[in-house]
Amino acid sequence: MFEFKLADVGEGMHEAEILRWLVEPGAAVKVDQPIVEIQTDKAVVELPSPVAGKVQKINTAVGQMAHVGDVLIVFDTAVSAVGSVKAGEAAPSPIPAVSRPPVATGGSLDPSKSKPAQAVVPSFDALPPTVLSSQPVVPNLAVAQMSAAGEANGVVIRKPGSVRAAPAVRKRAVELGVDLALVTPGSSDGRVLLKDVEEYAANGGANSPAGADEGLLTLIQAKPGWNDPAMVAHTAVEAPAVSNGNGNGHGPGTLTARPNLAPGGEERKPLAGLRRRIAERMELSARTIPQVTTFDEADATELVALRGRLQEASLKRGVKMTYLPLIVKAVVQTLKSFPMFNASLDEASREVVYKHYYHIGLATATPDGLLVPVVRDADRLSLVALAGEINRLGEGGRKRSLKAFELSGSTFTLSNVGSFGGYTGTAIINPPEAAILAVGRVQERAVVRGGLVVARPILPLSLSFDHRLIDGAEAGYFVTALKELLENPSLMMLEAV
Amino acid sequence: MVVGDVTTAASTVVLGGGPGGYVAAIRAAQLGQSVTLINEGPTGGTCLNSGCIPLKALVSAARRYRSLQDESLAPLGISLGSKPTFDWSQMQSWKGSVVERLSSGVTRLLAGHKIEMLPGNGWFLNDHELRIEGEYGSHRYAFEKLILATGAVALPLPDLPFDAQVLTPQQALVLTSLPSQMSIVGDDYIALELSTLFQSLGVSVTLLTAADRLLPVVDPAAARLVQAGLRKLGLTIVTGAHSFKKTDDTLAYSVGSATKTAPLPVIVSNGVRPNLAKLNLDAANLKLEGDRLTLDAGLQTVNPNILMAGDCTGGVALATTAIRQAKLAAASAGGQRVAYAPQTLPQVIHTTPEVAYVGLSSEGAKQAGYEIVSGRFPLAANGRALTLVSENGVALTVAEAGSGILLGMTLVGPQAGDLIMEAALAIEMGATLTDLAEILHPHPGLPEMVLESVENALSQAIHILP
Repeated sequence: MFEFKLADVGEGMHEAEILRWLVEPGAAVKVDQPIVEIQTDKAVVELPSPVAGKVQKINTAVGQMAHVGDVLIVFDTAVSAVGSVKAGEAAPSPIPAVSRPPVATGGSLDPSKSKPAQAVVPSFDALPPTVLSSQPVVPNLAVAQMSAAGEANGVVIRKPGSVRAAPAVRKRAVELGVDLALVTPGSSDGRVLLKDVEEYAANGGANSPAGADEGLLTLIQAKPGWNDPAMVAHTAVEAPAVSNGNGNGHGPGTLTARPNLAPGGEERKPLAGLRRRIAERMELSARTIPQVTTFDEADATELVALRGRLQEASLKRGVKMTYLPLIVKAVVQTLKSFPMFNASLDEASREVVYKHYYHIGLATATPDGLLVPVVRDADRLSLVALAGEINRLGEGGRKRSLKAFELSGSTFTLSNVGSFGGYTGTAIINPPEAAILAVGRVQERAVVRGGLVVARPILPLSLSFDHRLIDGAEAGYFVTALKELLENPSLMMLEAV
Repeated sequence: MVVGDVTTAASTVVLGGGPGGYVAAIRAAQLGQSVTLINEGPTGGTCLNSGCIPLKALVSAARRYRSLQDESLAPLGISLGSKPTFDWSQMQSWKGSVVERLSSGVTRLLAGHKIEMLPGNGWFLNDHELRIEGEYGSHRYAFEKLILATGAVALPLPDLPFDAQVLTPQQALVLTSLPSQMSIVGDDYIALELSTLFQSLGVSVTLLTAADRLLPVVDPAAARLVQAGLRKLGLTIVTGAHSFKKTDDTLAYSVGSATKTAPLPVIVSNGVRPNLAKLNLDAANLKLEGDRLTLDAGLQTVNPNILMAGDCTGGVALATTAIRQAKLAAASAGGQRVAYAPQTLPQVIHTTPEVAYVGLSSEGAKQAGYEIVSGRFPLAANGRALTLVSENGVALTVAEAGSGILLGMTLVGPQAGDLIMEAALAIEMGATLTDLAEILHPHPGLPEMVLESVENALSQAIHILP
């Protein structure tokens, strides 16, 4: 027996949400076979099995939070996955194959090359709505088709413990890109019903289990014309079509409010996945950090010119140069002069932690929500390397392909609030950091130079800081120093590494 | 480019007119696509013209002829004045009329859906154009979506190439005269149905199979009944046969280390190979993996504009699956998200008695890791079967212990191939033994064998003792 415990897969991770199990009880598992998908702070990670064996028990259900050290799954290692099928003796096809060459339609046609765990795209909303990519979105049931046992004739054989869903439900699941294994069965006998799949899809990946009054009974409501009293007696319990909203019980007419009941009403969707994590982080920031914001503007004339000069040479190295690497360089140099802005408050010990490394978080919008990829040791990267790393992290963030360590451990965060419209804005501190800088959009604005009104490209700056560690005066000095570097970027050469 | 080689732009092009092709064409048209169907030969492909339909027609005729000589008629007071006879060439022309009727019916359906039909064959010029050559000359066709449904070709045995004495199943169905004896090599439904066909018509048939028993994938209790039925027809069955070779005028083969001979001609049913060789796949950047192309669940090749359906996928070579894939490929070509993911494949073999099966056998279910309960009901205990003088059969049920979810069913007996659909529906719906037992079944009727087999699995069958 082997107990698989949740280990720290990223810096300082202490809990993770179970997104999806890739194995089920009874399944044979090979070493390094991916077994579970978890979502840590902000990354989705697939964990491989360290042992070969048979899945005995899954302890943590999908959607639950697991803590480091929790036993997620128990393996029976007495039977090795490889040994359970005798050499040279293929598992007999449950349904006879009529054509001689073993066949597997759908997915990889070579069963030995097919990877069941990868046949399902983890998150359906990451896909364009109508395109089936080379990674097909298929319901859980179809996965078996591409796995070793079901390949005999391209027909999926129900596996022990697999999802029960009627063909029309499975069809809808494919259309909506829903993995049936993730849908909570709405029927008390474990069937996934059409409404479960649609509710799951509408809610962006969650549905609520039905009460005992619902489920199959909704399918067999007594209908006019069913005049056989014996039949009516069996089917007279109609699931109520509307809720009275009091949510006090499960008797007829007292069901809890369900989504989509009346047009023009309201809908409730659970806070799930990344959105839930974002909400938790925001609450933590707003609840624990007394934060205030100071504003300034930098004349970006020089910065615009410098970036223009660097762009061509940078492109030759295959890297697109944006303002962001230049701003990060300026921020890092300023942080070196103002260590408190790169520090954090250890709430437990009431100590200030000064960090002698500069990991810069970059708030990034992704289709799923806000992610903060981290440029590690930004002070030690050349400008072009920094630009490359920023581009890589931005792309990885949008694709949700970043690892946990690439999304944690920042010491100071930069938010480019200007990139989506709006002139500027305030940012909220990314705990446990001491400050966050929001940069607005570079725009030509009328400014006074030598008594004359002239047009200059202006970069708005807004610095939110933890008032427990930093006072307004220091924040002002910080912004002024940063502004000087941004307005005269050649000064950065003095401290360039 | 040849002068005058004008490219015709087409929306959805289907290559192949069998059940994979014509069904894809019709479904694509139903979904609003503008469809061009390119097909060489008569509409309906192998299945309709030279495979399933001709085989079923001839097997039905042969079984009907054989039933006239059955000793079971006498107790009913029926006697035929003289020994019944048959005319093979008339039987062939009747078969031809069935095929002709179906084929022209399909052509009318295609025309009714405004599908442009182009006789000829085609191959890739690049990943978005085909060269079509046919009776109207050579054309260059640019497609937006292409559904390949080019079928498959019979696969010979290693040392037994097809020739005038070594026939494919399709060739056997158009024999102009019947030999007095023949051999049939294979253990699939085709070999068994051909054996039934020719033996019923008086040909002395030797059936040679490589496996150590007939129908190795079917529950042994059912396979024994089929084997007994075939033996009763007079068929010689040899199991464990291998190393087939043609000598001067006989078929040599080995059983164990002993070398034996069987008569010629021999029909070889050794499965099929996808018919992709002449498509110039390289031009479209499609690469064969072995003898097939990689497909995703939506039946797309690595090029999302090129899809496949039917035997050419290298999947199970049955029109049953081709028809389903064709509909999905058409929907996939139309931008819908689909997945080819049936849970069960109902299969039928038109032997005497008929056998049909769906889902898992007892053995298969145990191999898949299930704890099972099983049920069994002999046809001899079914009232309707006795009235049909067909008591040779059985219904076998396999379900998951505890949940009672139906996992599989095997039926032997008259109309087994029609009765099996109750079980197929139940499996696809995730129905339990109790679900099935709660349903009214007509009495007296053959469907009651399904019901009582299910009830036997619940230890509640009425008409047999536990």
